Amino acid sequence: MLKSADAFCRSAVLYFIFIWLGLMVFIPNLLVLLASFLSKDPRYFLSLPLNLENYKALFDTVLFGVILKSLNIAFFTTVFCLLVGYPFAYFIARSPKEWRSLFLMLIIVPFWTNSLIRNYALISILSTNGLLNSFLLKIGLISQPIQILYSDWAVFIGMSYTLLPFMILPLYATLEKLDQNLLEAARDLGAGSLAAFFKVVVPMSFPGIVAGCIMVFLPALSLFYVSDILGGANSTVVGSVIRNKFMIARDWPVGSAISVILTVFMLFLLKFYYKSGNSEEEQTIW
Amino acid sequence: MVKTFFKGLYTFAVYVFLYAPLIITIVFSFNKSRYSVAWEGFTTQWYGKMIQNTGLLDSAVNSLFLAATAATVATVVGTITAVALHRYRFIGQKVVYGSLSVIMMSPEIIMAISLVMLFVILGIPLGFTTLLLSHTVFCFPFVTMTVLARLKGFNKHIVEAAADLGASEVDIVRRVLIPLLFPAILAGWLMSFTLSIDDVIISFFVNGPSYEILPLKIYSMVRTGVKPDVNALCAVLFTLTFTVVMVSYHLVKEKKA
Amino acid sequence: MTDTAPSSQPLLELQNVTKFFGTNKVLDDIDLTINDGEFLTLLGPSGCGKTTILRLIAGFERPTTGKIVMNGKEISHLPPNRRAVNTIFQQYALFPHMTVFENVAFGLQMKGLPKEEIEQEVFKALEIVKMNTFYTRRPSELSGGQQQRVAIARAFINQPKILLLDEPLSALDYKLRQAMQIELKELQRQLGVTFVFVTHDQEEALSMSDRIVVMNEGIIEQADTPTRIYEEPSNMFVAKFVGEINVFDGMVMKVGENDFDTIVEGMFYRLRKPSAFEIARGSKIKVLLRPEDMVVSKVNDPEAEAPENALRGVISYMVYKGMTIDLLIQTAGGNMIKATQFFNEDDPDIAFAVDDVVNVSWIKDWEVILPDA
Repeated sequence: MLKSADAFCRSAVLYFIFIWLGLMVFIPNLLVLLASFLSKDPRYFLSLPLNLENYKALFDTVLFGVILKSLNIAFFTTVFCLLVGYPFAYFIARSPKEWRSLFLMLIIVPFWTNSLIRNYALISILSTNGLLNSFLLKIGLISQPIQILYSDWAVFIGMSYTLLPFMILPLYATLEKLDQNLLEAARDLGAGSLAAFFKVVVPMSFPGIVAGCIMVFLPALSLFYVSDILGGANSTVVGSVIRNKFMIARDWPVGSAISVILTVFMLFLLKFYYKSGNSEEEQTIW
Repeated sequence: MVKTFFKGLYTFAVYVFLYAPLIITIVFSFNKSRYSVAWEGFTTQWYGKMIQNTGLLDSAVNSLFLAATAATVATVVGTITAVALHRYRFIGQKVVYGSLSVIMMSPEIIMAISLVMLFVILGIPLGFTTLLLSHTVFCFPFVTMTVLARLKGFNKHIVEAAADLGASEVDIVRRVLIPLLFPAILAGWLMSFTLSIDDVIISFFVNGPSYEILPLKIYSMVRTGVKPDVNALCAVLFTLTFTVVMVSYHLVKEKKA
Repeated sequence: MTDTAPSSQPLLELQNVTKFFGTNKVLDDIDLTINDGEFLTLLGPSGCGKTTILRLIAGFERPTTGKIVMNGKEISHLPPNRRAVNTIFQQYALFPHMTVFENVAFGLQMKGLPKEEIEQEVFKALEIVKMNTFYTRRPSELSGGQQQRVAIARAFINQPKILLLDEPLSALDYKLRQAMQIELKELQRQLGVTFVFVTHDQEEALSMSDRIVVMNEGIIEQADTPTRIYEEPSNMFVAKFVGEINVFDGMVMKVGENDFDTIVEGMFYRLRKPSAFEIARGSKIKVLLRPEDMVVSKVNDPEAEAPENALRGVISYMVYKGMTIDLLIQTAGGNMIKATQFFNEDDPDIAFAVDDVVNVSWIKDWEVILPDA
């Protein structure tokens, strides 16, 4: 009697999980995949026949140029976040235990103010007579204000600002787990502190590096509101294109095709992530 | 010694980078000037304006309500998923793990368009329901991962011991798992709340005219210029969330100690 | 057990070393000399400071005050990578992202040796620990004992002056531990390297070491050969920490030239005078005896007087150990005496049973006398 109640409990839970994931994750993603092979329809959004036109449209010169430029910004954003975030994550992961949760909390706190609002606040820092220009003028690095706002530079800064925590958190997660003994072992075997860092710490935190890069690079392609707020007329990212196709042009198929490409790219990176050592399925990235 | 100093300086500089926009928002909420980025004197008039701006206040309340509701639902769903993944061996387990990391890793825009297509095709009107469902979907994997990490952390014989002492499945969950998992559940809730508050893209797609939330309201004002009463509201909201979260954090910490 | 001391050439000295962690004093004015080629064991309960000494020698910690001197040169402030010392860590600390070969090669690569030489040396080292067929494996693909061997090879391949071993056998099961004890001892003999071994397991310490340093609460209680540590503990801590022991209270009645008279458990004894301290009439002493030094004989007629130098007692507990039998005997005064008796097939008296009345004495002159602090 008791046994069957437990079994019922088990199947109820499992059914719930599968239905939930199926409805909210699988079907929607399949819809995107399907839509990318259909044609647009003014009334029902989608119509037959199946075709590859939407993928061909990606190579349209204008669209392709936007994609390249967006990739470029995303790439530099990722590099910047990695270079800034790695030492930071390393320092807090090696700080005294009682301080770590505070340091971590302080990274999360800014999220409680919506990122759109924070990006909007960046305007007053980046504008021609804003804080950054006044600061640079004051220290004599520049002789007259430079145009940062409404350029690709501003988009780069906004993306880096928004996504830096997404680099720091997975890096911190792997670095914090790093066995202190391994560092000592390396030092004991004759490695200087730099050699120990590059031979032991960096390779061991590789899964964190990959996870961080995925979590910065892909959003850096898609955060259209950052380029809307901070960028110039030409500073569009892949995300803006998708948004425009969906909300303005009502062209679901091309929008879906771009998303499919992004998804394939993400799956490829994920595979790389799972291969990068910590292949355990339960590996958390946070 | 010098090394420690530079580490400290570097860490501080990164925090300055992360906090600069927040500080500016709060400072400018007291600025007399309406448009300029220059400081023109102290005033609290924007707070007065803010209180009168019912449309803005409503959207802020809506945002907080949505985040709290979505975080709660995501916590329930996420915890159930975590416990199931830990307790049961079943076909498709890897698929579940896989979809969790796909959700966590996918750029929001992909999830946004896939969900909006689903809602349109199913004929669900865009509004609070669709917002809640979408926010729950992108939050719950973080709860699952946090709870799962804690589950792996403690001795797996604890559950067996409970079963051995005659506890049923329901008893095990209620008397053993939930109390033990409480810190992780709370952390998961907090993470969900944070992600929901911070979201723009998914909300942008699945939101309808019937339920206005703060980031989208501000987004619609960006082109015409945001007035300082928005800064005032953001300052209030930040202080509010900061206080609530810090207080609850300390309460939990004391309880643990 | 051999007591042949290796060369008494001092290799490493800790001079007045004190170490604080915050306000917590973990080492208190330690003076310790480690001789070239010896197998030295630091033995003590957890938190006694033995691991801290190891970490000071390795260079992971700096002494708060005092000096560490190696071959006459102070090394207190050298970083770990510049000391001719290598460590075998408690959980081995093998690099999980490297193969067995890469792990063992690490130290030589850091020295910048040419590739061919490294390869040659690595295989030689792996051969010594019998792991040469495993060189492509990752640590996660090895058993505990195999990981242990790799950790050993990784450390000694650098030809350190001292090899530090931080409870290296604690993660292994009993049988494997026994085998590794013998292998380690053999390896030490083969390499001729000084071993500094940390353990809380006294049996391990006794069976492997040339010299044992017994530590407690940041000080050295006794540093001596295993035999002397066991048979002539210099204080109560050492006596109680190493092996089982019976402790009797005594009162000095009369002091002679070579012996003195005392009363133990209400019985009169004439014992040999201890050399370590001066004994005075009327002072209190402790008389210590190992269980295996006790002599137990069954009393057939309980009414009869106990013979001279024997205590009367009743067996209250018995543990059969195969080769020996452990007895717990309650004396008339209510104290418990532990006695270990070897079986002797020809001796009918050994057939003890619980509740048997017995006489307990000990082999003359095998007692240890300590002052009653």
